[in-house]
Amino acid sequence: MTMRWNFKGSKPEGKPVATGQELAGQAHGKSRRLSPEELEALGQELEALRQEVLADLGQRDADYIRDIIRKQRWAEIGGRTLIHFSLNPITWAVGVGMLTTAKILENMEIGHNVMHGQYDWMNDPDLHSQTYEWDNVCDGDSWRKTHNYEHHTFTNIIGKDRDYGYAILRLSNDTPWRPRYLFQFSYFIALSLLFEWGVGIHELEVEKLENKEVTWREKLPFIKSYARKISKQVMKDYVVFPALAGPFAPKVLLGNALANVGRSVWASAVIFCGHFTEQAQTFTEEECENETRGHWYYRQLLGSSNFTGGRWLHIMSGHLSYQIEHHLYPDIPSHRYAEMAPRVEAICKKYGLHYNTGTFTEQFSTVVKRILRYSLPPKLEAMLPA
Amino acid sequence: MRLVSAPTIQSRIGSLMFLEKFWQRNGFIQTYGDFLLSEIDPLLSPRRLQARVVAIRQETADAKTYVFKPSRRWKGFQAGMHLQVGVEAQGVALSRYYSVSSSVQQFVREGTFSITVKRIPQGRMSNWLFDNLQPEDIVRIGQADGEFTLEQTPAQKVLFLAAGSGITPMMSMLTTHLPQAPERDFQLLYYCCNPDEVIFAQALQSLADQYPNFKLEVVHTDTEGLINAEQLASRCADAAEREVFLCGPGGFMQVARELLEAQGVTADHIRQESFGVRLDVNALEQTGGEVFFSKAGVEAEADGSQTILMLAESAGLKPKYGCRTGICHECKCVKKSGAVRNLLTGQVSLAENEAIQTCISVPQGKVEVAL
Repeated sequence: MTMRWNFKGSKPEGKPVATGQELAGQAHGKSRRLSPEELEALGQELEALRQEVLADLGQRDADYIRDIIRKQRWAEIGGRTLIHFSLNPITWAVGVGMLTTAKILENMEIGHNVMHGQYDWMNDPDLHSQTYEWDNVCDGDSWRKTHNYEHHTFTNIIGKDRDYGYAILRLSNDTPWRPRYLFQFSYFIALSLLFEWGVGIHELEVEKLENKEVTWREKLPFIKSYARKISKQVMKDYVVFPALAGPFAPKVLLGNALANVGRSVWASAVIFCGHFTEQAQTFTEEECENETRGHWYYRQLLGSSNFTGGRWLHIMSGHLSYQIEHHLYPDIPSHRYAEMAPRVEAICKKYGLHYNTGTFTEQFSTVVKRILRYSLPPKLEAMLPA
Repeated sequence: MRLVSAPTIQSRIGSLMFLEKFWQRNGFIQTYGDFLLSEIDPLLSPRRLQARVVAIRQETADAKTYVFKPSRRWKGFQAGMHLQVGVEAQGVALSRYYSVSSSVQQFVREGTFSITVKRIPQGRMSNWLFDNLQPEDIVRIGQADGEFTLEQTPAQKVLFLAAGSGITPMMSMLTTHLPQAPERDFQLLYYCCNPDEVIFAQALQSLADQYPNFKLEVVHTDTEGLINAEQLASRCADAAEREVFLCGPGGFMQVARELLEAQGVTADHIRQESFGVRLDVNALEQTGGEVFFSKAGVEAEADGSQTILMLAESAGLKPKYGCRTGICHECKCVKKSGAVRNLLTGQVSLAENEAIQTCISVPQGKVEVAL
């Protein structure tokens, strides 16, 4: 059975059309063009690695996620307790730090990965992808749709991957320039501060509402579920916990808000480093028409970028520091990416593909440059040094 | 002594029902409350019903008894009932049903009960238990359940017909009821390959010595042959007057049932307990088959060229899906039984109650999915 999809309809069709095949594998950035045979072979090698790790999943992986969950829960309990009962600004700040850490762990290393199905094989109802609900204003079902399906299927295809620039940032010349993009650096700052809210409202597809591609009526079920999730989160962090502190409510409110904002800033920085770095490639709908699994792998490789760091930097990024491996293998437990990375890099080398990595600072600075660069109209942008 | 029917316990359970419901909901208090209590002692968990292994006894070369101390939320059992026992084997949650093999009196006295497991050559669960489970370990359990109990019948004359590990519910019933029902007449006809395989040999013998209303007959099939009409008639001539409790391997129970009916035991006086579904080995070779969508109550015929998702859609269902190529897991649902082949990996999934991606799963024979 063929594993191809056709963007015009939602269902795959049997016969491949020539156009996509001819365009597929054209040279991108520092990577060379691959022939259809090479794409097929690349896909098979990457798939073989996936199978090898899948077959090896076991107690070690279960112990890993349970240990992280245990640490996250103690950090959350400790953080909230300190914020509540702090006697001075220092203990309060430590509490905020612990709560921020717990929230980052819960969203990035636990929630995001569990919801990808990385631990479904454990058969534990508490760790099941389709039922897990995370500590975030973004509703779990909405996330599964916009992220797991749309972003991971159509990664970096301009016009199909709505995560590419989140419909408010212009990150390549593929998007027509408009005067409002001159100020996009400030949108970037605002998005970073309020990232979870932005991610939560992503499914509303404001740009399609503007173009009347979708109607408000069609979006009503989403708006309802988003409102339900918002009220749950707001009640917890901004009503109930502050109220429990009585006269000290303001310091709890502020502490919780800072923890949420802290997580938003960190999450957005990590995610921006994953697809918007200088060497992260974009694709057109045409070249991905009737895409093969080999080309899907190729696109995931070239559209993603890693950053290096110590063990806890990886854990705190939910192992999205291994964005390349994550995009190749979204349903493999994240802590395995570190072991898989050298082998993925070797495969890249063999096929002459660029393996995009660097330190966090290096990668993030190219993201910032990209945001600034493409805020300019193409004529001005062309005058900038490459 | 019958714990479940004791009125005081019933009312206590009733008043706790709302708490049970509260803890089963998903929320911050539930998650973190359960976490804190579990950190103190896993048996305090209000969300998960668990038990601690307090002792392990070797019964025969391939049978072990595990003694459990359950959480206080466990409601007890009637002799002859079974329960679900769950462990984590190589990271994967596994569970099977086992009969309680100990007496109700032991549970009332010490707060413990036991199950007795026979090692099955290819059995994932039994092998894992034998090789890994240690005293002090925690297992997940379910509440006891079942109708294979003496409470279900007023009959005064009872025949227990057991083979192999089918002895376990009988053992629970004998140790529970013999001390408190001198008026009842019990006979046990127990089939084992040879003397080494007889589970509870000593305990059964001492019960037979102690209680005149209990007659014990052990048949060694290696020397005396498998169950047959002659043997059954000679060992238990009055079977037709008795309420028969039957437990053992599927083949044994099928033959025994036919023989009993031939001897004049009517079907409504034969109670049987069976565990596990034997897999249709031919299913592995098949492509296609029937898919039953249990939530919709719809069946679809498969020819092996369509995925479960396609079949569901052509049957008029509207299941959730995303990429349709095995990437996003949006279409995931529980396969309750049967075999499916994963198009991406080529692997065949056989386990019951396993999550599958319907967009890349092709049925291999008869399959039931929760859609």
